[in-house]
Amino acid sequence: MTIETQADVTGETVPVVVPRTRRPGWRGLLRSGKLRAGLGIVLFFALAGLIGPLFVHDPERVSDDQLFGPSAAHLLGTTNTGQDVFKLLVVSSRGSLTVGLVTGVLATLISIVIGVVGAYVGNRWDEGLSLFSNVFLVLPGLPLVILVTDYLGSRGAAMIAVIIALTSWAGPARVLRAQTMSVRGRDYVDAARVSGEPAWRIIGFEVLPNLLPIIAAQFIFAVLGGILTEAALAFLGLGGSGSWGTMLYFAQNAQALSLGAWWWFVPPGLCIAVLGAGLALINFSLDELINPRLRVPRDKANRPATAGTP
Amino acid sequence: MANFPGVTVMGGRVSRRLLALGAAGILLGSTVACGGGKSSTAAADRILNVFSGANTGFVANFNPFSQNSLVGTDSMLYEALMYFNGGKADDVQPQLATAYTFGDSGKSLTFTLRDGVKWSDGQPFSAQDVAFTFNLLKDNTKTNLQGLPVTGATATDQTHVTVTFSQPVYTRLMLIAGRTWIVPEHIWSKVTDASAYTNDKPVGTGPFVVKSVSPQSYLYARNPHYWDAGKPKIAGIRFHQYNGNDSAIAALAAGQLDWTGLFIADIDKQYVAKDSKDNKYLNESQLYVTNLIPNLAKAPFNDPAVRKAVSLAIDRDQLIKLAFSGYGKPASPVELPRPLYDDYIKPEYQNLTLPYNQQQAEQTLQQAGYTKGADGFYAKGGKRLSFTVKVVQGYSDYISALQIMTQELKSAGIELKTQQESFTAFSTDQQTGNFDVIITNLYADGPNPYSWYERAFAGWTTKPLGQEAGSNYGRFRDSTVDQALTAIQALPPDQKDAIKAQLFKAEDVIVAQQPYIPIQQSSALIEYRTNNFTNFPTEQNHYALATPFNGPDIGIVAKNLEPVG
Repeated sequence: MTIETQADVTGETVPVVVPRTRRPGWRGLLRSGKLRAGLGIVLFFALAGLIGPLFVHDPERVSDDQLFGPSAAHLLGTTNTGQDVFKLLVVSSRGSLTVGLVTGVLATLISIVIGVVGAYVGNRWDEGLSLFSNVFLVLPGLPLVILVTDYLGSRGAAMIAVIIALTSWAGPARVLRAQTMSVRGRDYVDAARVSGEPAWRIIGFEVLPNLLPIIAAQFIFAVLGGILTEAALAFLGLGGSGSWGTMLYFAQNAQALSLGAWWWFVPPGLCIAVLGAGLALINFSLDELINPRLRVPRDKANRPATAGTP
Repeated sequence: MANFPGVTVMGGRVSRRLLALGAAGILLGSTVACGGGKSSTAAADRILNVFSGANTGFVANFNPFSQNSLVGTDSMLYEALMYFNGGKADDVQPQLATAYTFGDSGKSLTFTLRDGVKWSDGQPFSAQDVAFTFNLLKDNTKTNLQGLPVTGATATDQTHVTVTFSQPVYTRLMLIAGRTWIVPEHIWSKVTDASAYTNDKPVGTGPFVVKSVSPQSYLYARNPHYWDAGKPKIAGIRFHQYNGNDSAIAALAAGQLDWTGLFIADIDKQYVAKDSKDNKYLNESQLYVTNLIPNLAKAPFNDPAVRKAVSLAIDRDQLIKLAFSGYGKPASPVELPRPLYDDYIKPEYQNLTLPYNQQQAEQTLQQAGYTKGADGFYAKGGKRLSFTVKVVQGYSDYISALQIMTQELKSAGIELKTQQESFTAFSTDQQTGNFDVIITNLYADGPNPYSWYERAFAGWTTKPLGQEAGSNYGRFRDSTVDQALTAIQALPPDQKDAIKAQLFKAEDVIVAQQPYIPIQQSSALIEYRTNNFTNFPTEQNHYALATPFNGPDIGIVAKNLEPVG
């Protein structure tokens, strides 16, 4: 065992006890059950969203089969307008996932630009960008999204995703800024700077690789946030992009709960919950990589006696 | 909309709302006997519990000239000169006035007022108060919500008042006598801006007075000075606030509400079956007609053949069954709600319906020069027959209806697309004519269909594309209709046959041209429980609209209810 110093997410440098033999790299990470379960769930939904809609013919087709329970003809029953819930569920998964993915990518990109660049360049740039993200941080997210979506005329999945991304990048940007501050003072970064490397190269090749686990975790978190926010918006009737939230909205409006039509609102709710759990599992295992103190030892004999006590 | 539009729970405020709701629940528990059983309170002291759709906390405002006043201000606290029954055409009852006469070819109105009426503070009501109210409308235009062309009002003696106008007002008698709420001069003459005054201690002539107001509920109690001897028979009426339809439905099912107007899916199973003896409801289906309103000022809907084809391709029975929970009623091509205006519908149109015939729809298009392309859609001059319907987002029954129509039209070779918009964007687009088609309601009220037709079809209520039209959003213009409506403006309301003759001329044009595409007649479910109170309006005894939302009908119902036992 050795004692190392490691920056936690707040940017403080803290000594950590790390058992050298069990330091997991990316490869070690894949052996984690949490990660494998999480990846499995996410992969399942990704495939469902990607390929599923190709096999579903005319999901919005109405029929006179109002509010039928699950049967062979309708795997998950029908809605009050006789639409097939299973078909809707498959098609809606694409809507939810698209919003999540676009939100994740955009929010992560913005937070990298604002957080990392600001912290690396420093001085006035840092102060300005940091102020900017602080302002966005205190804006109440959901009410703002509701106002903006209401203001914009038409809204597809992409538009919703952009709006959610624009209101959710500030938190990650702050975390990345703190971490960048810690990384930029390290010797190898100084060395690169002294040897005359351009700033973009230092950020891209020296700083960012060190932030990768954090960025990955933030990305997963942003995807999850995007899916949940979109579901909330759609549930309030502000989505209109054909997602699980939209299904819940229609179920709520048709009073599916009091009519006992559980097959209408349980499946989309469950999908959101399970996919959320999958993404959270991935996030937990990434967190463990970033901060070894969170790692739970496999058995008691292996537990480092002084772990977590600085 | 069959439910209260805009009843949504916004994020962030939920927890506070829930707290408020919890408090309201405790309050309810203490004032209402639990379960669905009969209230243990003596019949004479029993309070009627009402939910009229309020989903935010109450703020005291009993100003009849304000659009933010609490429900009941009109007609329960303040009264008009006459009552025009919204549930029955030509049913006009005396209220504060017992008679009226038109003079100066419709430019003046003289009312004979009821004797012995007192304000709720005990002061006598007189013709001075009526004259003061009409002069207030003239002097402070912000109080003139109906835009009445008043030029003056004078009390000739204690019981007679003459109101003069800048133009004939034969067609506006209902707004003048039935929607102008008379206020006491001895109080309102001291108010500096009558439109902004919140009037939290109202003094009126109505059957009730304000007892208490809290954010969760407010209570009206019987007015001891009320002029109509023996009425109201109930001790009071309490209006409640719930944060959504679901919690209000739960309260109704638990016997905590006596009267409300909630959309309930499968009402027989969810409501009536729980207490079939006392859980009653009435489907008020004469309030509006849901329409696809096409933009008549541009292609393709300037072609009557396209309008007819679309109408023929829609299966309204399926729409009503699937999208409107089976509560809607078929709409008449005359564009008037039935049976309300049956008297004014030309006999040969009485039983006219809108047929569903896809083959005929396609034939109509072919005759108009459309040919079916390889993609299955009709086209003319290389342009596919395709249009976008704008709808307010969240109006889930309309959105479902459009999903169904999309498929029905597709099989007839017509492409329908749906665009959801926020309410504000929708209103702007509808007024400026920025749409192919909108789905919305035609409505109006009055003792005869004049105002209904004026709103929907009069050339002077529309504007060219790009300018904001007050109504007639479809940009319908027809000289025959305009002439007929203008002729009615010069006819006193008692010349029923002459008015009918003119309306029949307009109906001929509407039926022949079919400017709009009617979908269904409204459905507004009104629930009432008869274990504690009786004498609610029924289809047989439709003495007022049963809707517990606004005046004047709410006040008429409230003063005619009777406690049981």
